[in-house]
Amino acid sequence: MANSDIYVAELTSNLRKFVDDSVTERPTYISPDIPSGCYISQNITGDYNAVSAIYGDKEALRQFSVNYAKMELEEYSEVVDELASDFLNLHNGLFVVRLSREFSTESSLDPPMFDPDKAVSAENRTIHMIPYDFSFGSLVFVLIE
Amino acid sequence: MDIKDLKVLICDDSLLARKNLHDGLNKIGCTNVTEVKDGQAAIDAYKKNPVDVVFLDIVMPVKDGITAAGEICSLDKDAYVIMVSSVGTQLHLREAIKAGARDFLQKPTTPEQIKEALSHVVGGDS
Repeated sequence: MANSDIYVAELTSNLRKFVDDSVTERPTYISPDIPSGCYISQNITGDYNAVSAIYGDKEALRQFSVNYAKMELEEYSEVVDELASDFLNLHNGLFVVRLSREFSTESSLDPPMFDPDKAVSAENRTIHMIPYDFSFGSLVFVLIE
Repeated sequence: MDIKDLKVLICDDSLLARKNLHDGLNKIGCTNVTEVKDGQAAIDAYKKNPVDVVFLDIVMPVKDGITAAGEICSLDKDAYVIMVSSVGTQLHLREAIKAGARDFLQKPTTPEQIKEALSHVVGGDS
């Protein structure tokens, strides 16, 4: 099983567990470009290297963060982005733990980033787009290998 | 000493992680809790005001948790450091122990896990 397949399997499981138990995965696809406005991200480093990201419209991100953090967030703010990046950190951590335990692949994480002025870049790498439909809207996760 | 008497320092760059751990501690009666956001701030806070337990995240900006654990334990050989992280890999566990951490909690944590970890502190376990 490719690491990207393991990533998607873990992601679907963690989204159902921590955000929305009715979330539906749509088919993943390879994109030639990073979507515009994609800046919530985290680097995975070590034996397995990748960049992970999440993007979508502000309202979907707000509701995502409300569901995940179980906090009241009546409007979009930087806190929404921080909470979305927190989910990314949690999921990526559980993913690298699985790689370590099952495949002896040792990786770590850099702190997540959520600066709107620092968009994610791909630098000639493969861009996997992983779309999901939630009860409140759609979001796309990105995995760059 | 009782869990309720413990002085605790939480170090995590995540707002949500600090809130969840703080709420978990309050739920089990532990209310003397301070928060900081990175490893260097944890070292500075510990130097100024040593606590009974330090909960340290690993992945943080400025200074990571394992480096901070090493420095705190060098300052105070009796420091009780508990790593709390989503990155509970074998490598990180080994590094944490080497740095002097006494326990490691995999995120997401529950109040029950926090209570069990603190029971080792008051029970005198190492």
